[in-house]
Amino acid sequence: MTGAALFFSLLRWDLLRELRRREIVPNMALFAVLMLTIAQLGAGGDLVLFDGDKRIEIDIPGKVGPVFFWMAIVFTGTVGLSQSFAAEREGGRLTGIQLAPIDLGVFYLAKVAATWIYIMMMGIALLGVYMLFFNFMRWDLLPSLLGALAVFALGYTGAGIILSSMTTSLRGGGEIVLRILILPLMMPVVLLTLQVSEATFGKEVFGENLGPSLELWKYMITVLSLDAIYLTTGYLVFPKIVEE
Amino acid sequence: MPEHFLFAQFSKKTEIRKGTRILVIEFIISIGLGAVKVALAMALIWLIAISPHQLNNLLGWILVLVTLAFVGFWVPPEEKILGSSYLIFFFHFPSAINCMNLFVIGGVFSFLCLLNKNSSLKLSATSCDLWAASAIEVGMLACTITLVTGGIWGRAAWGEWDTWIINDPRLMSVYFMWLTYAAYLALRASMDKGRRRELYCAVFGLLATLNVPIVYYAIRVFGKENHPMSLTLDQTSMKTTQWVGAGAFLVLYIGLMRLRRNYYKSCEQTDRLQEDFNRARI
Repeated sequence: MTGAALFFSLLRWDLLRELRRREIVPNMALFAVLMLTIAQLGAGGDLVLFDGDKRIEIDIPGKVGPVFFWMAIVFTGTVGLSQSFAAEREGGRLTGIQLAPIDLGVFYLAKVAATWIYIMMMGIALLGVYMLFFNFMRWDLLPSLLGALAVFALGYTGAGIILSSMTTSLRGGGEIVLRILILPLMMPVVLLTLQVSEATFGKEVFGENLGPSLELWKYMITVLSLDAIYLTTGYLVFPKIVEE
Repeated sequence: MPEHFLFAQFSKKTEIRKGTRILVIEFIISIGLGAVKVALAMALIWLIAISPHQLNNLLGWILVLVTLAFVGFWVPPEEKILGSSYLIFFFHFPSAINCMNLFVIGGVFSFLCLLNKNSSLKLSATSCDLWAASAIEVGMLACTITLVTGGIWGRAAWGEWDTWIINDPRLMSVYFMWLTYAAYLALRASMDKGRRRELYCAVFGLLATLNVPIVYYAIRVFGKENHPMSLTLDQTSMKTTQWVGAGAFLVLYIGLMRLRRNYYKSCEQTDRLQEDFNRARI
């Protein structure tokens, strides 16, 4: 079987399994919505201050909404990552994967693609809820936002699948260890993603503190380079991880 | 940064194409210069590392005392803007640059550990793993000293412990590195000794080290340089002490790294003796 045929075959298998069992995407989406609900309780409305007779309204949802959105994606994504090897772990299929005469690098790429699709689906569902809770009606920014989400999710899953494959064999499924490992690795990307908020959400999150807003194309190039590094490293080291 | 001024001149149509080319060229140049600096540091470290480790440690402590003597008796007691609080710089700066060196050493050994399975390198995978762990642990010590001394300096000079992370890209990049390598130590602690731990720590160590130039480059290029830089080292005594301190701490940290590695080696030997003893008893 050629690499591409193997890739699509494995991807199809993963997606079909998820379609039948509906374990990962609904749970992730629900968890993300719950996180956003709690965020909205504290930051759903404008802050009104009075300076003498002058009324000052501070747009809290616009300022902190993007932070909560990306936070929900990042934390909920760890749920998807920890579940990505659940089927292989439960059925004892990890040994089967080791013995199968397939290119394990392609298996890794198929896993990344499947998890990326789950995160995108969860992200789109979350975006709908976000628009409702935080009154975000900038339809013109949706392509930029979805593009940023796609690029972010690619690096996230690229690094996350490597770490998930390592931690799946640890005590208790390594759930906590996975989160401790993935979050620091992703922090620079999260920072850049927040810095591009003006292009994706129409509002600067950092203001003058960190620097000028990042342009979307600069963000794409930087994060895609990082994604390429993670995917290449994953393709090369995943076979060694599975062999152990 | 230069590219902000350059980009303003281009029309929208050519902006992205030319801007990308400049960005890529600058990235390659900075990585190249960084690689040259790292190579020089590696050469210096190798020279230090081939000396006997007792001599290494002794030399390290002596050089640190020499630095302390320079700070106490040679450099001016006050600086134009920062007053006497600037003296902590001679401990903050060496720790800051040496933590990066140590993390890169850890990354190199992690890479060698991954390669080692199928190659015939003189260093075994276990040895590479122990070196990587030692380098990263001492690197974490240096990184912690950097963050703490930076905070103390900030408090003394500007009245706040840190301008805090959101305001300062340099502080942010060091803090992110600290968190990443803290995760490495957490992973190491959560696993039992063995080939699997060596492999997993090597993979994460490599990922973390690959992340370091991205963190370093992206945050500084796209952020605003907000690191308090009002210090001017305009006297020979200041510049000399700065680099003597950097060298002194490098020698000391390498000595500590070797000490740590020897400790792990002793633990391995003790465990092996214990296993042999238990087997003999049976």
